[in-house]
Amino acid sequence: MNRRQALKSSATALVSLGALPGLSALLKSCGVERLTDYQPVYLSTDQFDTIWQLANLILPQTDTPGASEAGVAPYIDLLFESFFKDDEKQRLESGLNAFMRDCEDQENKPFVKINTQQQMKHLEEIQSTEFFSSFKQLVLWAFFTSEVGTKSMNYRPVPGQHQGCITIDENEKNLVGNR
Amino acid sequence: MKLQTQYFDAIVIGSGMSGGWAAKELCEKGLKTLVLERGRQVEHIKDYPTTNKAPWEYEFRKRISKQTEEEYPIQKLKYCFDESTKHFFASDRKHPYTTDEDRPVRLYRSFNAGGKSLIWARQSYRLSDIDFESNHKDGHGVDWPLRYKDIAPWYDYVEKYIGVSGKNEGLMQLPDGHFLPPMELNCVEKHFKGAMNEKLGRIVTIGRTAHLTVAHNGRGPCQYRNVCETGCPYGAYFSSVSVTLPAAQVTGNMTFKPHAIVHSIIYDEKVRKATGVRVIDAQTKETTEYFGKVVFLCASALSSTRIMLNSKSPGFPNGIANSSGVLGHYLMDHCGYGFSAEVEGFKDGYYNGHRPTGFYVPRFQNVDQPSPDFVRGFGFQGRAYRQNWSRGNNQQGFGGEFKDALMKPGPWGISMGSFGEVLPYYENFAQLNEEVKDEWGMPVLHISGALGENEKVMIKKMAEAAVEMFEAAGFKNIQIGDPDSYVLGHKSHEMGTARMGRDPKTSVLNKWNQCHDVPNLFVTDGSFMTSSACQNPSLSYMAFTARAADYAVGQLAQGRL
Repeated sequence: MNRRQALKSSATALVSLGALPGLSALLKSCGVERLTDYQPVYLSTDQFDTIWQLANLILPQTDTPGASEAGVAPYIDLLFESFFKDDEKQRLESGLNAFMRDCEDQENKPFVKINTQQQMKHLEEIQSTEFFSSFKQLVLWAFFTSEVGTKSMNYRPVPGQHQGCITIDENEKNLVGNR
Repeated sequence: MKLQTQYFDAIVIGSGMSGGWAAKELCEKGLKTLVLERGRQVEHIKDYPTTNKAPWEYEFRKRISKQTEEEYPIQKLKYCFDESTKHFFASDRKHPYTTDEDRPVRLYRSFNAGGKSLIWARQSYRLSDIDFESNHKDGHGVDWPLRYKDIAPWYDYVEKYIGVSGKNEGLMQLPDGHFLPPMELNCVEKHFKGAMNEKLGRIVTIGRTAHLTVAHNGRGPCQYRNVCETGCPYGAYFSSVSVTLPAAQVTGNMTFKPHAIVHSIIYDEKVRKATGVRVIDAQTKETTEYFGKVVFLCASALSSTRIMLNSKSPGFPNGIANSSGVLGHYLMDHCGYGFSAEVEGFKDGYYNGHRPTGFYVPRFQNVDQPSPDFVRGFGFQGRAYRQNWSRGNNQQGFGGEFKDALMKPGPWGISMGSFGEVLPYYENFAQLNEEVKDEWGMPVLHISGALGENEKVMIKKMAEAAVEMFEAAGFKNIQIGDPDSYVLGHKSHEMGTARMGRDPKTSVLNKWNQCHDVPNLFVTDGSFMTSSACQNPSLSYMAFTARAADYAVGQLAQGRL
């Protein structure tokens, strides 16, 4: 039932992100191939598409939803627009730009245009950088506090009872509520 | 300025932990009672706008926005402050106070009906005779003018009415009470309890908490959501909004006035009594005078002190009932900080439901034998838990397996905070700052405080004790917080600025919470505390308020007030 619910809400999430069919056709007609039709509010489409792909690599869809189903990248765009303080914004953005530049220098193609295997290699390389660590934290938070992410765990906002000590097996998910 | 006048039997200033009890007791005993609240009305259930909201229903998933940070630079430091609770906190911008750079004091304030009873941590512990006798025995501060036997029946009375879940342990330093069934410790906490008992002879017990584990007095039991500070629509934890104010309301004797900022208490030199209060309407800024036979000041320790200091008359040029000059001094709090550790094993153990309390380790120093290092003592409060997805923040890796692992409960961890007794020091004080006025023209408070030598030694020993306990239980990777991170007031247990005592020359209140100087003025919030003990104080504020109300009504009936 969790999976059904998650799929249903991820569909809703996509609709709410403004994925308009007409817009998609327009983008293609200009010769720009994008992975998503979402029009970012703060970030440039290049920056946004990179974030979109990075988030999907960090938290891909498995038998539970991943970053794109949970709307992680559009949410990060919103955080840039209205949540981050200036210094935070500058730090993240310059980290992102440096990553995009380095990638393009090495591959002669933007990050989003190289194949997944190459993308993974670049990700492995930046694992210990400050940019990747803060960006990953951002992706985790944006995913696991989203409706899709939360409901793919054991979301029980009103348990109605408490037991201090129960036995679980390895399939048990995190118990989460509204705290 | 429009002046109106109105007459009541009793006036209660403040509607939180203490004010709610004063209102209920005075109304139930038949007094026509005016309750003055400086902030807005908060009605049970109706005014809990966030209580059913999920994290993703907030623009920033409960994290505080830049605008919120600017409005609440101090309040945001409180553990339960976020976008789901901010409406129960007072704006720091609107309600400033000043402090010394090298002696800062942190104040958490809730200026609305219910006050901090809406956002408290609900821990409910009795003081013992070890606490009531300590000042007398070791010479710090003045002697409490009463002993445990005087307040014990009132602890009974309050616990039975509000409903406190917990477990009796038969301890000298933490008297037993009338408890509803306790919540359960989890697997790791049970192990911790066993190890403490066997290896160190220390007690670990479930937090004694003002939460209903069974239906009680017409209120529903806890649903284990643990979003208490948004207000509980089941009325499962005690707040004045859900319990005492409605009880006062049904008597038909209460007049509740929100947006009523008390400027000062009116003192009549001829009869040597408080005859009423001057009130500024927070919205229109008009002044009104209200008159009553008895006044209960329950505005929270420092707000009450501010009102008293601002109540100047020829007889009391330094504030009403302040012939001793100690009003505003001897400010106390509890001092402490955090400790954590990792726990191996218990992989198939988990818990069900979001328990709204943790474990409690009662004070174990200076109980049976004196400590060579410091006087008084400290306790710990904490919980064990399985780590959730946020452990991924500190892990290497990414991808499908990484994600799926984070969706499942991680290793166990345990964390706890210490709560140490702070001695009463004259140098820790609040006074009026006539240079800075708030938007209603009242001088703000200037507050200055620091820990003394005893606390500085104690706060170091807390780390030793925590490490010893975690090691005894076999916990690993012990982390010790920064003792210097503690700022006086941070535990939100500010108290002691109108202390009780036997001698009118060195204290403001007598053993009935009655001003030595002004017999019909009672002060029953944290300002009455003669020593701080190390237990969370709200239960004591409630018990002393109920006792003072009973005494005041008796005195009124005998024509003595």
